[in-house]
Amino acid sequence: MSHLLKHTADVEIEVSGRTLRELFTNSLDAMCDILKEGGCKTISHYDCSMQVVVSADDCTSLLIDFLSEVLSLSNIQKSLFCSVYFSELTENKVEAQLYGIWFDQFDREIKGVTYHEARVKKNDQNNWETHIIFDI
Amino acid sequence: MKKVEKKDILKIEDFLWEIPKSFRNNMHVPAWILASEILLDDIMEDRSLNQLVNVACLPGIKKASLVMPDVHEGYGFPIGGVAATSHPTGAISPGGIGYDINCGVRLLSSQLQIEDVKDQLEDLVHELNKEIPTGLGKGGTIRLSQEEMENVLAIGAEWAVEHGYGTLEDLEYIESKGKLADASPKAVSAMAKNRGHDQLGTIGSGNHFVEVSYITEIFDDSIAKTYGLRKGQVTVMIHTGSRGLGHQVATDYIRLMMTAMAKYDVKMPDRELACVPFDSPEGQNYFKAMCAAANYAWCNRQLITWEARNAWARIFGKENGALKLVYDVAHNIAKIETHSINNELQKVIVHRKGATRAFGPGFNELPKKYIDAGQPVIIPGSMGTFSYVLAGTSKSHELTFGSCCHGAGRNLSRTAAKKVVNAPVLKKQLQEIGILVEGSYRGIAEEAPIAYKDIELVVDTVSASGIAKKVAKLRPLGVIKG
Repeated sequence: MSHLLKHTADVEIEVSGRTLRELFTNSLDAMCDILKEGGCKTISHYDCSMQVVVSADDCTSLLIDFLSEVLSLSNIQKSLFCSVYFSELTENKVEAQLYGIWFDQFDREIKGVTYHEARVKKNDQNNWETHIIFDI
Repeated sequence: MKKVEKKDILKIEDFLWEIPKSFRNNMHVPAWILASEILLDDIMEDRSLNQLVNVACLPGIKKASLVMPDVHEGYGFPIGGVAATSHPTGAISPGGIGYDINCGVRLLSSQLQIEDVKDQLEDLVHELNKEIPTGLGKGGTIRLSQEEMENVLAIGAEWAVEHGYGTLEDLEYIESKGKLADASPKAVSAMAKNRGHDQLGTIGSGNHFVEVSYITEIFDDSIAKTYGLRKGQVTVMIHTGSRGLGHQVATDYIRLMMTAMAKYDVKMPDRELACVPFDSPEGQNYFKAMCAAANYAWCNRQLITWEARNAWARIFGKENGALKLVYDVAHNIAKIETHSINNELQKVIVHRKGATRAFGPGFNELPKKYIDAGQPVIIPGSMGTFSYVLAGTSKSHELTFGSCCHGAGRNLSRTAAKKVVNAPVLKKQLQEIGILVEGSYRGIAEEAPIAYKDIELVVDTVSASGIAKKVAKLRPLGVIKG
């Protein structure tokens, strides 16, 4: 689950998930929706697939670095990666296969996925959550 | 963390406010806010000033962390922030430059007056929109080979001129002549180069644009004449940066520095303020990569100039003259400069994030023609409001490390703007007052004039504070939104 928060210049979201996988998947979905609103809703096939492997010192950096990596691939491949399969996901390493569709034009350009105010943690309901600010 | 309140802020002089170093024990210098009291109250609505206090904690920061009157909340650094750190041991922070390295503005002047173009304005805007690729995902017409990319990164706008996309005279009228000599293409990752290989000559999206305007008012006849500006004259303004290449350079090095900080025993209150000593291997590599990305951005704006000139010539013919480059200035960059601090000349690394260099008269790098007038400072407004050309002054060196504001500054989030703005209605309303807008409805809503501060207040503040003087006021006629 994710929703938009108020931020003067950029796009800030609050995202959560019952598991780490769900948090990562929901964060990716939210990023795709910023790039192309509803772009993943009506797809019937995938045009491309890419593998990503990211390691980091902590879970927050891992999530931000994972999204940054997907963002870079989205830009190079001109694809929206709507689906992800995690072959490995710990608090320090993610190995995943991304499935995407080609797009000529996105709605928005995300310049960067920032670490500002990002903090992956478990909340009172035992769900994983964090804020993420995207530089637009 | 303790939030800045009005009671924590002292008035130093008209338009200058200070959060003393004693506000938080990890501040190395005080934090200065250049603003009128009305703007200061506005600035306190978001978290800009807390971010400014965090900037005051950068290792080696000199004199004060500063914000301009158009400041708004960013991530790490506030947008509109300036910080100078001691050279060569002070910190360099990619967050103090931003993801869009060398985002900047360029102004072109024409030989035509408003009366000469108004009947063909629609055709011109259409032609510009056709010629200049906008939005994300749309590449340009140029595809750089690996070797060409290395050259663009090394020599910037010179590459464009060498390949027929501009004149030698253009280079004279670009900050740093469109090339930072410290650039090293080797310091730029393959991913960044890959992202940039087809984006030269493109605007991107967000607040980037190409705008046709005309001059409604001249404030300083002598300087305007020096800059080649006159009342009624039609101009073209370009606002964009280093596109995906620059974004990737920032992403790569912020990630690297977060890990490297521990090695240098640096602790910052915000991860986006990740920094290392300038003279460390990581600091040097980032600086070389940032310079390369800055060169790419200058080359990009030169290519867009070429596209704009083509569109202009198709509508008005070659007999109506080419568009002349007035000046090109960066507002997301770090530069090594010498400034007087405590009456002593010191070399510093000036970080400008959403702040424009505004050097006064006598600065050697300026084109000979401008040396007595000072550097042109180009301040774009929003799509429905005025923009300004200012001139840098010697006061900016004393007060703000030779820096000035960079625009009106946002005061509404994109989400809030979309909620209150009906884009088709706004587009029609702008058309009714003679401003044609091309772009997606989403882009128009998010960048609506209501989402920005009053540019008159911002420009009056910098002018009254003495860091820049007003030269000309520009009214938009047509806008191509990214």
